[in-house]
Amino acid sequence: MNMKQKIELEVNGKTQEVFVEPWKTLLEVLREDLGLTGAKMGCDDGNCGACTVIVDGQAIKSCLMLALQARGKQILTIEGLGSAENLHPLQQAFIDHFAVQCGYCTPGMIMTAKALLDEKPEATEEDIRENLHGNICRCTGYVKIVEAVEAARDRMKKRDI
Amino acid sequence: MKFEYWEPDSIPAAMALLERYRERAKILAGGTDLVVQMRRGIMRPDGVIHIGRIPELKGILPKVEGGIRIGTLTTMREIEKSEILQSGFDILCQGAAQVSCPQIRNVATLGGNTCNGVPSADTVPALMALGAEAILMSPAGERSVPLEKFHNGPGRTILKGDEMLLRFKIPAPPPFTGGCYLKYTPRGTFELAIVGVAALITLNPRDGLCENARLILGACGPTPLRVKNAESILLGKRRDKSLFARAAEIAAGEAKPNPGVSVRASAPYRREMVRVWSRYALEKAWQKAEAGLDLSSKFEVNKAGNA
Amino acid sequence: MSAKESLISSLLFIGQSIPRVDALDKVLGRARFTADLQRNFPGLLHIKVLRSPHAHARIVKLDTSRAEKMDGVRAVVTGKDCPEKVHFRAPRILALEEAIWAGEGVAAVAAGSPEIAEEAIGLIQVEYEKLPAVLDAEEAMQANPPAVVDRQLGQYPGSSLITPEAPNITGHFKLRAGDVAKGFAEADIVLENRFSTSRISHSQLEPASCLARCEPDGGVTLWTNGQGVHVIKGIISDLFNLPLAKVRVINPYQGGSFGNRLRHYVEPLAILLALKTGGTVQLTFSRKEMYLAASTRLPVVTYIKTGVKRDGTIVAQQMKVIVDNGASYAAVQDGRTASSGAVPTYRIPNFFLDSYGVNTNTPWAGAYRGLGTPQVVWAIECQLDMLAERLRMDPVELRRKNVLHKGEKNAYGEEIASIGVMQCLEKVVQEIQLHEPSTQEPGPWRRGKGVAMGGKQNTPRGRSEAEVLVHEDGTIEVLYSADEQGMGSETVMAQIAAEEFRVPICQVRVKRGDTAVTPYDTFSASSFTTYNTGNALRLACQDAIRQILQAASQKLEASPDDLTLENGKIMVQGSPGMDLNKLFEPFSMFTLQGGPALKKGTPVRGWGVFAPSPAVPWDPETGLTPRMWNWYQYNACGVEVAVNTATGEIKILRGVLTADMGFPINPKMCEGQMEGGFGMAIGASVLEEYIFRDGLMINSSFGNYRIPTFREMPPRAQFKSFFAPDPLPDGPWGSKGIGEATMVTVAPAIANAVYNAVGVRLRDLPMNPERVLQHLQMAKAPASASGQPPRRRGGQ
Repeated sequence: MNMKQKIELEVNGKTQEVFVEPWKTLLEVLREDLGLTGAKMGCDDGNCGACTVIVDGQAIKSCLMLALQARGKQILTIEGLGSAENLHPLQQAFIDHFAVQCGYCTPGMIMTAKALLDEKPEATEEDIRENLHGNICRCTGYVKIVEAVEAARDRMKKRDI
Repeated sequence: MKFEYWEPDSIPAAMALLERYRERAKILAGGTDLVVQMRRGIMRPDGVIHIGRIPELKGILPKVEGGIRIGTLTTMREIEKSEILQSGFDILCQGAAQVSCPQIRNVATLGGNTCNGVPSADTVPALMALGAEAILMSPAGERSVPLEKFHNGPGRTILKGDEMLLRFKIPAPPPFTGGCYLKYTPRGTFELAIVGVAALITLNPRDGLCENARLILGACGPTPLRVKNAESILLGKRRDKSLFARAAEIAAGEAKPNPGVSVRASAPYRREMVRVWSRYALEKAWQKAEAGLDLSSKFEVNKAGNA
Repeated sequence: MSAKESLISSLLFIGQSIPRVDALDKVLGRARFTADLQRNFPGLLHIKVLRSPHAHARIVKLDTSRAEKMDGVRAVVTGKDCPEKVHFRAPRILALEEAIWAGEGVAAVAAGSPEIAEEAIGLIQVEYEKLPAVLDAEEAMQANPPAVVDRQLGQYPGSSLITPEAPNITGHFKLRAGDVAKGFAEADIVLENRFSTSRISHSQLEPASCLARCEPDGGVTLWTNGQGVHVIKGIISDLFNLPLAKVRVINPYQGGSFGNRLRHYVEPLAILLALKTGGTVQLTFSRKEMYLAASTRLPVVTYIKTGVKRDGTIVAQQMKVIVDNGASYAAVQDGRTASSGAVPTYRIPNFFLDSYGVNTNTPWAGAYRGLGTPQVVWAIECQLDMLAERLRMDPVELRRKNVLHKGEKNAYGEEIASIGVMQCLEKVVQEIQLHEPSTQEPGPWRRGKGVAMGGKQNTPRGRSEAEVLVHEDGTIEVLYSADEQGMGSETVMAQIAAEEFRVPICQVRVKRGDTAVTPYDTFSASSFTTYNTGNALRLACQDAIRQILQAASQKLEASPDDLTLENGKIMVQGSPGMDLNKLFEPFSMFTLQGGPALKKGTPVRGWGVFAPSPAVPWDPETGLTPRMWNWYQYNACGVEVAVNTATGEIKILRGVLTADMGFPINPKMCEGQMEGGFGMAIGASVLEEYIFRDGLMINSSFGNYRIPTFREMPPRAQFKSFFAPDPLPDGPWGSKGIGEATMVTVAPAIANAVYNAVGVRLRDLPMNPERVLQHLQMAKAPASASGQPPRRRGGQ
């Protein structure tokens, strides 16, 4: 029996039609059906944060959300954040401050940081450490990630003036 | 993991599904627990009823006669940030704020946290301390169950097969009430608690003595545990370090941590942490209750004894 | 300015923090990791594995018929389908008669979707007869142990049965330098202790994943995040009798490794099922499988006895090091590597060391950042602080007194070529203000400071080849086969090529990790990629330059000795001669098209091979040799901690690391290795361990396996890294490696700081809150007989 349901997902500003089985997570649909492989699977149970995307302005772990739950919501993935010619300040800062090593946690980390800075443009280092602590990194020791998010915060504040 | 999926847009529609499928269907609110359990094969429902789009299940509303009503779909984040709840019910905000990490809090719901029923749930001790009631609905009608009676085992609740949680009713705490929920883990709020402690203290404004005390332990037994024997020694007393220590000692004795091999902590260590953190939570709660009082010559305060 | 200084100051890219060449792709989410490729393969089959829940069990019944009949299942395999051959870098693919650890695979399914495969696993009927298991290495190594883990030990290449009476001992390394009996007789103080470390996991973010496609000619193409494409090619060819020419292995980006991917535990099973189905298959481990069946760090028990004179001179040391391999011959099992942490730092004239590799019925261990050195230095650096206290001597002075100097010989008999360790220690001592006591605050937290130093060997292993293609438009391709698991090898290689050719980095493209394209290399291990592959690449660049200058010398009628290549221009004695692209002749019917002159369309191909000089075999009875290892990277760590006397928690308030990496090719990337190593070491020191019930690991999730988060690192301003490089004569621009030594010194620095804070000495890792609190409570209680809490036994 074909149990696929047709839904529309708004992803990175585009409405996409997908046919998904109810048990597919948003992460699986983004990666397999829409080819958006930036969000990653790093664990089995929503602990690593590598799957983080932004849904209706909030950072969520896409491995914990069924795709059908995301119907009608605005989804932003790393692919929709910036382009090579026009990087988001967070993306630029991650490059400039060597906050990327293996890169597996990077998309999730950037999306969580974006959601934080969008809500709290004055986020302090303590805010950053607390808000991103659901994203695990094994390579960097987190030091340069904090540095990069602070640099992006400062640059984004200047742009608003 | 195969299941059917429905998204009823009203409570009656949800009821119809529950009546038909009963235990064969699971209710999906945020999904942060259920999706993991289904993928692990711990839950294998035939169908999933996603209630996330039913408007009547959302929202935090003050009640006419005081107290508050919180819809089951209210997220941890909404509770954490709610100005209505922060004045008076903030022990619940503290509980919600310590659930996992921001991404989880954006999605996880109060109803989900409660119905999932793990003994370490961070909001349940706070709900119990506040004397909250769960309003349940089934085809037979509505009923109200105090949170203290809601859980009857690890991950087990008194919900019937065709019953769902609609909202929570929390009476307004009296003035000069202070609450503290804290969660102890070696890795911040990211982990499930080794111990969770909810302490709520109400003081008599005329003499600063304790009029009401609640002490609830999470992660120390098959369900969150209310330590009545510790509460009772605080009643009618003044703030006193040794009193808190004794209450904490009683709590440690009554805690029922699983004696077997645990991924988080051994039973003796949990008991010791109950002793350490109950004391701390009681002191904090008392301090908050006192914050509104005038600590002048009206009544004696033992300055050295001030924790 | 010295010659060296003028050389360094004239460098364009080397020594600069050039932005990583892979960072753009990674921040855009465009960088492809192995599982990201799956949607390119229609009809892909997915593999799931049935695993034994028992530490040791006979497989009494295994009936896969129901699974085989299920719709969507293409193949089911068991141990009977696996090749009989065994390769020492690859664990046994599936158990045959006995499962020897909880998590070992007993059957596998390839099906049209992961869900079908999972369901089919559930249909396999299996019955086990539980057998006695041995979960503790000290118990396992005794004569007539309760269980024999690997009955075939000694019967396959790379394995040895040391003594038949103790059939779980896989290796025994002996070091016999001097005369310890005499040494101890001369000592004024002798101290003996036992230290231990627990089983921990690399926990790199990207799970093991591979994709194998059967080719029409009977060969296979394999995409994998395993390390060492050429090595994997050889293993596959060997195990499955496939001609080497028909095997192709390709590496996408690798999401961390820390040594985990140096054993091949997914590729063989994928190839087995690819060949069986004739299709394309993928195998991606779950996080739980990464814990149960994907290599761990070696737990090590160290018995250490040290004798010193009253003035602090170490006169004798005796060590017994017991290394728990877990349950597989793919472990690093000869015991020798753990010994290497004991030798590189101090002058010990009389030194006996016995290091054993031991099998147990627990998840198999392999290479892990530091390779046995952190575990042994844990013991040594704690012991030294304890000795300093007994001697009433400054612990820094004690180390200064005994540290080896360049030109001296260590206990193996190797002459030390490069050792910056003492400078590293002086720097951290200064930065952490070790000699000023911590400021205490009211409340349960007590603060303290501690330091440690140590070194880690580099294995003189194998050769690296590199190729460089110089195109007529001046762009350059670098081809190499070592790994990029995040440490930045692609960037370093780009820097090297840019430096050699004096071109902007953006003109260099790195192509890596495809056996059909990139030349032979082993893998990235032992922190040697910059050294091994970097040296090879320099030679390749110089080879290409030589060819170019040869062609130019004919065109310019000048001697090649007068020519240099500078950013696409041939320079004649420093003055511009001609453009490089003019050297490439266009096609013409009227000129000879073959022949040595450069031609448009054909890049100049430079090739280089580098191998360190070989090790010199050592006498198996003494372990002495003038060359066992290659070079040593060194490190020192200082920390200030706060210990909560009510809960036992340890908070790292401040950290300082100083590294001797020979020369920092990319300083920011070096910092990244130190910061990352520090974070990982915090996990190993105070948080991480495998928790077992009946030999089955039960904390197989990031939620309860305590990998550090942001919160466990000190705030940014409280962590500093410094360099104290001592150049290596044959390293590229003097560089060695840096990735591993950062793991070596953190745990003992923390333990020394804890002792400074609360006066309790922990000897077992991790120093988790429960263990710390136990020690604190025992310190308060009246003295007991043993003076130590009961020791935790492995696997239980």
